[in-house]
Amino acid sequence: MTLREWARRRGGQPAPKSALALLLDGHGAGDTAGYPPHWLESVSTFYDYLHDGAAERVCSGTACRFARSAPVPGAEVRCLGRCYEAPVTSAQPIGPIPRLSLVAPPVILRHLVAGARADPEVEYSALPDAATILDAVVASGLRGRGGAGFPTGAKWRTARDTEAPDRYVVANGDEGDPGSFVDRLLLEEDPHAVLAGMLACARAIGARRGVVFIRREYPRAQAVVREAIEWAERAGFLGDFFRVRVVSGAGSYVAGEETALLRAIEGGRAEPSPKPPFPAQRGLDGLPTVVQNVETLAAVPWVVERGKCADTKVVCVTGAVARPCAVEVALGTPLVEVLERACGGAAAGRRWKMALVGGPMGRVLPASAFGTPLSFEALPGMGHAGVHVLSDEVSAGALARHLFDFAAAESCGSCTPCRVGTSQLASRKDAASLTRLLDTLELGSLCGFGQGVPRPIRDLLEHFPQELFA
Amino acid sequence: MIYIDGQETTAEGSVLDACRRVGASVPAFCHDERLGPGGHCRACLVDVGGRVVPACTTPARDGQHVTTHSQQLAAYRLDLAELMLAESRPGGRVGQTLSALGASGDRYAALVSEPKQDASHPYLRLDLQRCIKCRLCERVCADLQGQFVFATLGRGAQAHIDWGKQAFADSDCVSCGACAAACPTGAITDIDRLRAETRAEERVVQSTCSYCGVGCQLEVHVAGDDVVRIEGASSPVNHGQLCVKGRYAHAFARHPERLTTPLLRKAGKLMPVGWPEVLAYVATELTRLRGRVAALSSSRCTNEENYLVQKWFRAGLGSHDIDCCARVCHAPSAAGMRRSLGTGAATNSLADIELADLFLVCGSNTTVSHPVTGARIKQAVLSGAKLLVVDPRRTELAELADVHLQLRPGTNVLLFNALAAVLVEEGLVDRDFIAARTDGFEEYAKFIASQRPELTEHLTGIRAEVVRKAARLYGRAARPMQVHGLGMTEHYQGSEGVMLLCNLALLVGAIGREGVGVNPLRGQNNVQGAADMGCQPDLLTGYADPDDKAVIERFTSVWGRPLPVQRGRTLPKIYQGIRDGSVAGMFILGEDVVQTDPDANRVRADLASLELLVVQEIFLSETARLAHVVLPGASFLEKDGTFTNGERRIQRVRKALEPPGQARADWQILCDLMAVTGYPQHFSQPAQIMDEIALLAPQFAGVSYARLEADGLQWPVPSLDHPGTPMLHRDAFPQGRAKLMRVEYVPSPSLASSGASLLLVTGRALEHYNSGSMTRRSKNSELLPEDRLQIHPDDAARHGIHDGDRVVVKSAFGEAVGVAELGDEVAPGTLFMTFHFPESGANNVTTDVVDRLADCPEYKLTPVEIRRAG
Repeated sequence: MTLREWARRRGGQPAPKSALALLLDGHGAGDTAGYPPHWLESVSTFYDYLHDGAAERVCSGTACRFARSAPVPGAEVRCLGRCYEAPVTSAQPIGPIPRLSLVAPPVILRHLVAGARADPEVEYSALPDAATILDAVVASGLRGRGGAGFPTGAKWRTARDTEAPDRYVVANGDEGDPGSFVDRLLLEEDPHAVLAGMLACARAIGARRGVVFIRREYPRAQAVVREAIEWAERAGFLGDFFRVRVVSGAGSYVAGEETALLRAIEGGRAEPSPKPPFPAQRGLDGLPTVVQNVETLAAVPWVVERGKCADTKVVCVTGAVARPCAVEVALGTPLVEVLERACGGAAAGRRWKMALVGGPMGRVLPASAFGTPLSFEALPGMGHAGVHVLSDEVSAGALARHLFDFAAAESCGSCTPCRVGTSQLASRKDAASLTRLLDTLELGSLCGFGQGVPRPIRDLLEHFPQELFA
Repeated sequence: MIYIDGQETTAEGSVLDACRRVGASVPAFCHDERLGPGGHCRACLVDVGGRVVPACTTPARDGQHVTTHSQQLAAYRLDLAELMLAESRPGGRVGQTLSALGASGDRYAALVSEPKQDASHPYLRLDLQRCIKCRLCERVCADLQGQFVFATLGRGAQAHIDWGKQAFADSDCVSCGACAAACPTGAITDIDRLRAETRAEERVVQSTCSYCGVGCQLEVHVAGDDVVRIEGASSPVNHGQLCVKGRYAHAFARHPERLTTPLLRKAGKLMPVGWPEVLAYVATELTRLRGRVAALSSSRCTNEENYLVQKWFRAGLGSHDIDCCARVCHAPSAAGMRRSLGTGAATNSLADIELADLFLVCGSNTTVSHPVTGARIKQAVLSGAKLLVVDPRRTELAELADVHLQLRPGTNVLLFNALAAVLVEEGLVDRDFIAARTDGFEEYAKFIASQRPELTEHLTGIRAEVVRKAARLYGRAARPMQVHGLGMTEHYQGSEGVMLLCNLALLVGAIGREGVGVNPLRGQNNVQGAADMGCQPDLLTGYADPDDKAVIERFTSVWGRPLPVQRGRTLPKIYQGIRDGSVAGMFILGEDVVQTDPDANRVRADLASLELLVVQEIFLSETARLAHVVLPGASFLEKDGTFTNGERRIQRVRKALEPPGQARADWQILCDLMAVTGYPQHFSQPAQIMDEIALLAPQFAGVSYARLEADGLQWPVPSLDHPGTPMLHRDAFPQGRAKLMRVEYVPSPSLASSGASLLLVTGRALEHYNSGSMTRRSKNSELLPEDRLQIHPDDAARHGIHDGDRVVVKSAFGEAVGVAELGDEVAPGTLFMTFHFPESGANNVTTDVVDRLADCPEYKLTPVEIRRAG
């Protein structure tokens, strides 16, 4: 919040919009609404959608990038969450997300695959009292599905035990990883599971306010969740005791990092802050804030009801497979089993070479390692577990360059190694010099972005050293 | 305990703090101990128990083993340094560190960008080619100064600092210099720092700023006999922060117009003479005029000098006719607070600002007149404290206020009674406190019932519901802290207005605990001290009563002379004395009354009619031009002594330079004057003078120079083992109980007699200090080259005045000229003008009305007419 915004608010006028919200509404050119122009510019130059103002964008996410033989001109967007129908632009009509489950009954996709659409009322009304919820979540051992795998119950406890007049629950719907679209699926088709998960958390920790942060790339998800909130408020499941609003992103990958997400919700530049303090101690407005990924929250009502953990994960598979889809699997299922059973094996005429698991900060598995189980332990760094399978038409060098571009384009610029280092990756001419820079990025970067950028590149160096500097 | 390379230290703060404590060299570029860790530069990585982590963001924990140097860390630091050189060409300590790490700049290709450069500001210089994006400028500007000049634009490798499209001089910058002080690369620097690069600094002298009464601690960097630069020292008063005056306006010290020899009027002209001749002349004349001499001492000078002036006049020349400029600023605060509470000084400390949850700021444009304190209040309010501002002007703080009580000038008494009436009526009072510690509540409650805001809103111009809202906020706050300025005191009912402030604090029990109180923001650097030392006619050193037998005995025995019997006169009465012939000679130390006292034409005429006017000064001021004798004194940079700030903190002033030419330290001149007029003193250094003060004034009994070395002491300091008193009235008031005062509103004679439609308020601008004799002789004059007249656009339109026009302001007393500045900072019907430039003559128009109790002039209310200058 800027001084002027604050001054106006204190002047007794209605709370003005944050800089980001103003800019998303098209302010900023002539009318700066009291902000110094460079304050608005500081925000507008951070987000892709505000920077060039283009509404129609060409997806350059991993799936779309490798589904195209040549680049398409136009403003870029790094993943629209439509990798199953790649390549796309934002102008094309959106096709349905193919989904299935290898676990029966499914947990996260419980309302989405069996055809048995639950009455949303049950998700809310079945929730028990605060202590029971918290005990159930702690006992279940549920871990965040956003990628970090942090124990959910511990986070909630911290928030509850931090003395404060109020608390926040934030749903992280900033699904930035190219190749992942499970959050979009849940937000658009099962929003009440997510909202009920938020309500459970709110009740458990004593929060009266919630935010669903949804990336600008998912306009339909934003509309659906807004409608769902209105419905739940009319039905009395949400209200003054827990007020939820939707906040839109504006095109920034790093905004998905939890501390950066909070800055984006406040309407500023989505730059991560050092931890501690953790958001559960000190987050939005300085209040304890639980930030959970959408997928985790969708699982919460199920976990609370049963008091045990859902050891499943929705994996989004795209690329050189016969049937790209979102598939719920038991954690620990070997990748090849997912590819064969859920996706029908390799796409016609394609031979698997490697898979990028968990997006641009994830892991590269050569085809020979497709037997690796999909679990946080067996495949550290698998993150949100979007799987993009690449055929032997793609060189490891091309994938590396794609990752370099992504890193340089999405670095927020807050810390030195990542700000400067990501832009120097592409010019490294040998393995030693590249490795030295990767070491610097990994050791020195402030957040998981810069620390994670080296991960798939190191895999490429290990498995395809001869292709990288060709 | 935490172990840094094997060295043991306590596990407090961050690992970086621990490293610094044991002296381990860990590079860190974005760290400032006044701010939380930024974590931007990533240079401070260390090995903690086998994990490489940033030292600044890692909390120190017991049992940690930290390694600051290893092969891995060396390789990392070198690579990071090379990356930094790919995006910048840093100078300063970053540049040195990168060189020391062995970075060459050829490992990575330079990023293509066109960093901005700017030299539009008189002091600050920006060259962003040097910037490593550590964000310290952005953070100190926002989080310490509250000014929000800088912002980071762009993402990733394009991220960079910016201040907007305008030239830097046209930005919101208030020239406090905090960014230049914090910048580790020289990307933001100032002309003083650039000069420091070419001159070897020889020594650093810690001293006390001589501008306003905040009392900021300075580090004066000296080369040869010149100040190279001034930095803010770490101190509970200013935490390293300074303002545009304290940091930058020091060029006056070596200005060619400095007085370097004594001057004696011969054949109508002031001629340079030697010290023996001038001292002999003064001795003869003062002896001749004995019984008809008066003195005005200087709040700009040290405690020791003020003490000497009053000692000289009282014991040496036999006159209580001694006053100081507290008369024209906070004498009503002292008088009012003494009557209500028993002590006429701030009840609390600046450190209480961070503890308060509500501020009641009355008649103080704090961010302009006391910038470092103002910024501190601003930060407290940004962090959630509530803010009420009473001011006829929409000041910067008023703009941030929860309630701005924009009253008509001259209606303070009505407004503060109305606030109190609401507190009593709505039961928002602390009955226990009132019962235990005050007298007269029952009568007071009856009286105040007649002062409800509904009855006076037509006079104050503030709707009753707004007054009620403010009163409720004040009454419900847990720790409401008052600060007030000259908008309270410089009024016909100034002292009484201050009593009403005391009433408010007493009603809610906001006295004698932390984060509350009644706190006058003293105007001049040592106006508190000048009054403490006894430079007022009715009170001796330490506010001792000259009618008290024990006091007379004590002073007579130390001074070795009898005290005068005849009562002394305040400054306005001394001027009257000149007119009625009872004053024929005057000694004025470091005050330019012709420019700063009201009704300046009369002041000029009065002084011109004296048989002897001796002015001790550093420049030939408007007043000095009228003198028969001008004695060249020393600036605060050129002598030792002490100043006492507005929170009663006695702080050391330390000599950094020699006085120019034959100029001498004022205390030495005073000793000579005392000697030649038959009252020789034995002092060879100011510390001895302080020892004598400690002997006489119980509040100073425990004060000695040795004890002032660190952060000074806040009086009262009753004994040598007493730690000083940050807060007054904790358990009791000096007279036992405090008084709730019943004050009826009496309109100023100016309001009663005049038909003028416009009311003029005078005051200060940020860039200049009072008469401007020092700040005008610095580049601050480029920042603000003239006195401005703020006028509401409606009034301007009615008089055909446009922005930038020269405007004649006319009162019953005279005419002044100001440059029109149109805006809604003033309400229609109100004008505001500064008085920093002699050529504008602002005080030609101010009136002869003075405070009913303390004789302080009513600067804040002058009925005037205006017209565009022809």
